[in-house]
Amino acid sequence: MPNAMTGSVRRKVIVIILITSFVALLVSMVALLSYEAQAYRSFLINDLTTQAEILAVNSVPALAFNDPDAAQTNVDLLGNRTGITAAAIYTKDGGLFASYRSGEYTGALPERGELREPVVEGSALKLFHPIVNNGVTLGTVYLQASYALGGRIADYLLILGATMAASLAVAALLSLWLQRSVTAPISAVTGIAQKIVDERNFNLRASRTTDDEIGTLVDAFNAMLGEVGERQRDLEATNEKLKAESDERRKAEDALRLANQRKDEFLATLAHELRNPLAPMVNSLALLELPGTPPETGRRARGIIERQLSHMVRLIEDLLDVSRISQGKLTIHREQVDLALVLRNAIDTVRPLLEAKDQQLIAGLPQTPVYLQGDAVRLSQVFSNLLNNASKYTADGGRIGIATAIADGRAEVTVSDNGRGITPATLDVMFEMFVQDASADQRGQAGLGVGLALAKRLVEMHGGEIRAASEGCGKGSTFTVTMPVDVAAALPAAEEGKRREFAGRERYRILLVDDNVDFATTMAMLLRNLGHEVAVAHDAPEALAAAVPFRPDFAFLDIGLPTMDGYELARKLSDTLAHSQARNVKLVAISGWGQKEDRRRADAAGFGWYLVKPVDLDSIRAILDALPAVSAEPVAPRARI
Amino acid sequence: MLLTGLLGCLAAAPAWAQESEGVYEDEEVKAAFIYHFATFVEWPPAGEGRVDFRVAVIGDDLVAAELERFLPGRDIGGRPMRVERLDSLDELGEVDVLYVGAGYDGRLAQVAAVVGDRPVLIVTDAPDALSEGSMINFEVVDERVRFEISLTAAQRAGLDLSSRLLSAAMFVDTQSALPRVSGTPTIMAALL
Repeated sequence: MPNAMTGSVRRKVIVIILITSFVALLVSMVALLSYEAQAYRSFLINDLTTQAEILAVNSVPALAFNDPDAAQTNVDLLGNRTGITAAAIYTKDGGLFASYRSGEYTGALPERGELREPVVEGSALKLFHPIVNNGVTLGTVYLQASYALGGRIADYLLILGATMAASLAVAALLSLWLQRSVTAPISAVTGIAQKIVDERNFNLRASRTTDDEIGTLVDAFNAMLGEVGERQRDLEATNEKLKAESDERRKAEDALRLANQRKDEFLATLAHELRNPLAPMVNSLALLELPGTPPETGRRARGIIERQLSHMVRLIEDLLDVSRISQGKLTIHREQVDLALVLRNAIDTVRPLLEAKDQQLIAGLPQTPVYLQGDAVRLSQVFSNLLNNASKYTADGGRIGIATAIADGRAEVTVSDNGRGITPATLDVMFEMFVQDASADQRGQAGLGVGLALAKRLVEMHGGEIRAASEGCGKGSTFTVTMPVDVAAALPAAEEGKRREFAGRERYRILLVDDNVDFATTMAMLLRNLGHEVAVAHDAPEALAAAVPFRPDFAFLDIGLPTMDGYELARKLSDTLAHSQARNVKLVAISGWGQKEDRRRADAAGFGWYLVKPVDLDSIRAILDALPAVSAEPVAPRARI
Repeated sequence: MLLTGLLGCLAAAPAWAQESEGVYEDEEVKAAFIYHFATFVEWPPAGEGRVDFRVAVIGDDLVAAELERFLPGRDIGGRPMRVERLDSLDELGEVDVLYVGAGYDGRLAQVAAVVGDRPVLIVTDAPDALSEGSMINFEVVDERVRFEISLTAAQRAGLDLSSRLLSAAMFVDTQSALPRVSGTPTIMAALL
């Protein structure tokens, strides 16, 4: 039985029906047999009593008139009845009067007739009945019948057994037929579930065929499938997203690693590049200090120092720009600029390099003024970088060209060379920071690999774009910068203004205070060369003392002064000069610190400008030329000393 | 009670012995028969003021004695049975059964005449008595008391005899006397 209950539902249903039917039939059978066993006895006794009664009545005359023959006839007649094995009539005194025994009867008749209760002895039912006439007992009838309860029960068992077998067979057939309506839907659901597990297809659905609990199960199953499918899709989507994010992160990591690697390379290059100019400069200084050095030699030594120094300055400028780009602090100062002037400045910057390599420059500058909105200094930097680059990757005696064209409201500047060209692989990455052609012609002019990246950024900040093209190795390269032309500014008046701005300068009296004597001295020389009158002081008392007689228009004050700092000095100076003269002195702070707090304190002390060391000469020039001063943001420091 | 039962059984024991040995006296048998005859007859209602069931005996003192011993305590249809000894027919009053013993010296036909058509069962113990108007007549065959019946006579007296009685009879005469009742031929035909 436990085996039967582990099979399929189909099998279980059949087993349950069969067991139920079997038990019901068995109970019925037991009840029937119990009743039959009881009923059989009563029936037999009743039947036998009736027979005895008839015999008794019929035997009254025989007994009354002492006629044993008649009694015998009656008894014999009864004896022919099936089931009665013996019959006898006794007189009222108990004596045997007439008797009958069937062939199967083996026992003895009771010796005396007397009234007793019916009794079952073995397979015989024995019954006594009185013979009464007119209220007077004449004798007793004795009947004996075969009491075949066992045989009868056996017969019943046989019949019931056959009935049960037939019933079970019919029940099994019926259940086979009926259970289809129960198990078929379950089997269908099971099949679908198995299929889903095998195929991982959550779009499959079980079809509802019944309205009973199985129908409800199918509905719930389908709803569950929908839910599972939904979650599966969500999960896949999430996985996809995670994978994409992971890819992105890997790319970002790669990019970071590459950037880091380039930074390392950059640092190595930087150290190398900064050290390179030092040896020739030291040697030149030694030559100059030697007594009896011929003037021609001294002039060449100074030339060497100047070139090396300017190279170092460019390196440091680039370095500062790199720092600004990486911090997102690179800003441009928008104004109206003439493209021709910008290009001329750029050409002037690289001319020493071109001359050193004996390269020919073919410049096609615009014949009519072309105005742009931008930072003149920065735009010059862009083109000087491009020209510098062209020179660097072009052999000695090569040709370098710069040309301009105007089309569709855009100015296009092309810098080309007949140098070594660019490989396609390099073309893809050359505008990225710190990328440098490893096989570049060094010659102490390698650079830091930031020029093109800087140029690209600057052009983009001006709303333009930069492209590079090369037909391959040894076939030269072409860089093209496209920028929007400032159409509104193309007015003669503006043009005049610009020319004046670049040309005309006022002469000022300038008080320069710095405890660094070298800085103060060189700065003073530069300012004097620009045509201004300069007084130098190295501390606050000296400055205050010099201020009154000198009556400066501008005071350039170092903040980090001994005994009294720049802020204090600024206030005292303002006070002192305010009493002695009508003109207000314009205060310019020069500091090694560029924090917001420092600028705020400078503002409070009455400074009009704030410059961070190293000080850019252009910035000073801009202040002196009374260009619109930017109060909070100082002009970017550019040291072109 | 049990003791009484046991004593009863013991007391009865000699009687069984008697019976089993077949030593009944004929008188005793006859007395019993007379009683039994009465039980097989459908009696008309008893006369006014009379309750008991009277059995008159003439010509057989032994049988009378047996009856006197046998009948008390018995009844027919609730009527207690009583025995009357008659010395002569003149003494015959209102009776239900008249037994004329073998010792009766008169003529049987006279008895029938005296009785007339009263519903009296006439039992006799004489050869050919049926033709003399007797209704039931004893006859000893092979040392056993038997009887014959004249259905006609009984019917004439208005007495219906049970068929079970007839079945026990040695002989039933249905022709010994002329029918008095219109229904008789039918009965006779049925019996034939």
